Amino acid sequence: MNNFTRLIFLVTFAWVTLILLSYVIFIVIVPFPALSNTFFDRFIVGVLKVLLSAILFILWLLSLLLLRNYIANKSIFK
Amino acid sequence: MQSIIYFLLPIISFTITFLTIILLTPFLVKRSMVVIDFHKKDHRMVPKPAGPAIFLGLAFPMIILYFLTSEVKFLATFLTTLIVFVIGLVDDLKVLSGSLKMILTVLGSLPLLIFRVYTPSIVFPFFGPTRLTIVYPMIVLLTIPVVSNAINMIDVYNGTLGGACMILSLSQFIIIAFIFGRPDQAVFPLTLFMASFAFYIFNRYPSKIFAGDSGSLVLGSFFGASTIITRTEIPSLFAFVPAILNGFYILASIKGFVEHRRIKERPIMLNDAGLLEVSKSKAAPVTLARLIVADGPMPEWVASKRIILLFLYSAFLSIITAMLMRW
Repeated sequence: MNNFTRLIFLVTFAWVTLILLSYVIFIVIVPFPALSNTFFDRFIVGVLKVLLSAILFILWLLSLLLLRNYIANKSIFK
Repeated sequence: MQSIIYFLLPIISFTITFLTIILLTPFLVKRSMVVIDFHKKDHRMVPKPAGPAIFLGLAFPMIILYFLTSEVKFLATFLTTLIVFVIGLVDDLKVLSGSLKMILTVLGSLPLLIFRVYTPSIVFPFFGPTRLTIVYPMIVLLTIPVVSNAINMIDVYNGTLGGACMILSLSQFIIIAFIFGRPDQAVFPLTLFMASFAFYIFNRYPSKIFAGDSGSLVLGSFFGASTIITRTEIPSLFAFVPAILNGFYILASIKGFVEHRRIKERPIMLNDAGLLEVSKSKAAPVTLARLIVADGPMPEWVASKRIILLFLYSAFLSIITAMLMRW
């Protein structure tokens, strides 16, 4: 398999996972309601939403990095 | 009458960019504003930047449309491109650090926020719109710096910048005009397409002119503004995947926003036959451009064509995504 085909697979992987990631962040995490209407609860839930979204986004970036390293090891550094 | 103007202005955009590049090229050569094309065996000098021509081609239709319709979205787009163009031009003349350039381009988002030309919701395939009153302004603030700098990083081979912008704008045009059925908004991607096309004629292999940071940042900021105003965030994001991958791989390799002139080891070299070859050094950044050339020594035009094909494939995926949004 040549590297261009691997890159096509990489773009397809990024497309599918980015759709799933955007669903999880914007449809599940962001609209999640606070447990009660107090300022503290709303603040904690807000911070947790940002943290969880950031962790998921970093995991997505890490998966892209792992795939890049795999492609580089199969081609540039073989 | 309005539809004729909407059809004519992108043609005027092409004409302005095309003619200005013709006039700008001898001016840049006369003032020794030229750089070495490292991917050519003869190391020829190429004039730079074409940014003023690209900016005029994009800004003129926006100003005309603002005076004709009094709609602030055209003024906001003009101001966004103007701010980013000035930052790019300063970078072309004085060389700004990578991180400072990233921070300054945030200013380009301000006209879009101040004039509130955005709708605080994102439409998702299958699920429809999700209201994001607090989060959306933050997305707007990040869009212009991220998109313009990612587009700036894709300018690696002759023709990749112009070709990529043509495909990005064309996919956005197809989605807006034919899938979402909003032809009145199609003037944004159509203007970008025509200006990119005029630039591509001179920038394709072998390049007669380089965009410079002023050109690439302006093209990116216009695409970002167009994405927000036309509400094509999700499909445009998917069309943009190769630029995201390229930008992220550069940042991950060099660990931060470093100006490309400061990268010590080049990932691509030119062999004795004048073909591009990957560096085997582990210290050189593992970029998309390097992965493309890893298939073996190849002429620059083949590497450029492969990057453009990758954008074409992403554009196809973005059109599929837009069709799923209508489902």
